[in-house]
Amino acid sequence: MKLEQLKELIRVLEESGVEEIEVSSWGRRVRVSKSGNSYLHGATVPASLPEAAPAAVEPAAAEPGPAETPKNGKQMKEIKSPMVGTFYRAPTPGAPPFVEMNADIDVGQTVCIIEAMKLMNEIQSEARGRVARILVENAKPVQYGQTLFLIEPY
Amino acid sequence: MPIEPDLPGGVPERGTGAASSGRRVLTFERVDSTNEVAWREAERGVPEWTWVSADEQTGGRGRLSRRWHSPAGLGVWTSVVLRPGVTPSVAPGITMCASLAVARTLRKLHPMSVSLKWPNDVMVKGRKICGILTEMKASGERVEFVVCGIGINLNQAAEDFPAELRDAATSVFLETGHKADKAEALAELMPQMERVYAVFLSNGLQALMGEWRSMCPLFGKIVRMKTRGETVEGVFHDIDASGALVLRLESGVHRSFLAGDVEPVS
Repeated sequence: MKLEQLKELIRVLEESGVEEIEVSSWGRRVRVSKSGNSYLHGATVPASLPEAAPAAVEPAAAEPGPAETPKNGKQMKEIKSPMVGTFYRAPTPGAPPFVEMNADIDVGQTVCIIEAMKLMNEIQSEARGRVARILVENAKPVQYGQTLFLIEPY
Repeated sequence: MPIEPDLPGGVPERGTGAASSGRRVLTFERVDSTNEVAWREAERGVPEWTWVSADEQTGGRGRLSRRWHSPAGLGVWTSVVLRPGVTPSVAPGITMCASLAVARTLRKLHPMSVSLKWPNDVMVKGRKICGILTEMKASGERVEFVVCGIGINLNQAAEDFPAELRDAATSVFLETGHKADKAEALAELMPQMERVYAVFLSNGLQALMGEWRSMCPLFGKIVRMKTRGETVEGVFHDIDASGALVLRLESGVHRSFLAGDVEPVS
């Protein structure tokens, strides 16, 4: 399984109500589970297909760097830009930012503004947790789907 | 506290499109900002097409909280709550819809040469007659609501504007010499906004661009685009389906912009 496919599988699991997903493809079997302390339990592979397991597990395990690895074992939540525009951390120039690094934030809390064509879009967090990374500088352009914040969920 | 609606448009009209059936108008003597009030109303769950209108704004504001002067009785200071079923990336088109609705309103009621400046300024002879501040609340790919604030300068004399704005701002009174009727302007604006918005939702921004272009004198001209950090010159080539301004650079390359101030190169 390719890294992108594995990422997609993890994303589907994150967004779903189920605890575990297992897929089989070309004799390879990969299971991803939410339970336990690790968000990726790894693959269980028939003994006859030994080459599959490392290929499936290693890239995903290596993907989050030290800063992105939450202490509680849950996967970081990304807050992404829903539109192309300009990123603002504060409601007005000179005002305190909506959120700072390591701040506790709640679901629905405003984290930034994205402006496009003079429409000011207040972005709300969809997760409750701690601001672990702020990935864009104030007043810089952002692309659609670009990750703006990493949230360590509670 | 809201006072009773005093506007002809407070009564829903028939025949102006489905949107008008839900029109509600909350009229205030004085508010901090109609956008603030409309935002709070939207948070409380008021339906789409709830308008907030005030005689005076004590804290009227524009983009990035720049002050918008909105003295008592001299203009239309209003905001409308919208709940479009579009993704956030489509919603900026609403700012262009609002500018078109204002331009139609002013053209219909007053003999002035009204033009549009990308993305949403309404101008008369190079001076701004209307300001639009659109704010949106979104979560992920879902737009919860949009508050579109519209301030139209109607009856200001030159001295009613702060000195630093007198060269940049104008009013219906300054342009025509006649006092404008605020209730009439709002009553015209509301159904115009409903019609433009209905076209936008059903057929997209492109369906409105022919009319928008016809009111934008910079089309086809050499312009200067000032963005944060750079200034680019080129031919004002087009506005694309998302509302972005497309410049044709000297090299022949087309480049699109979602932010910036555009001005003619003289």
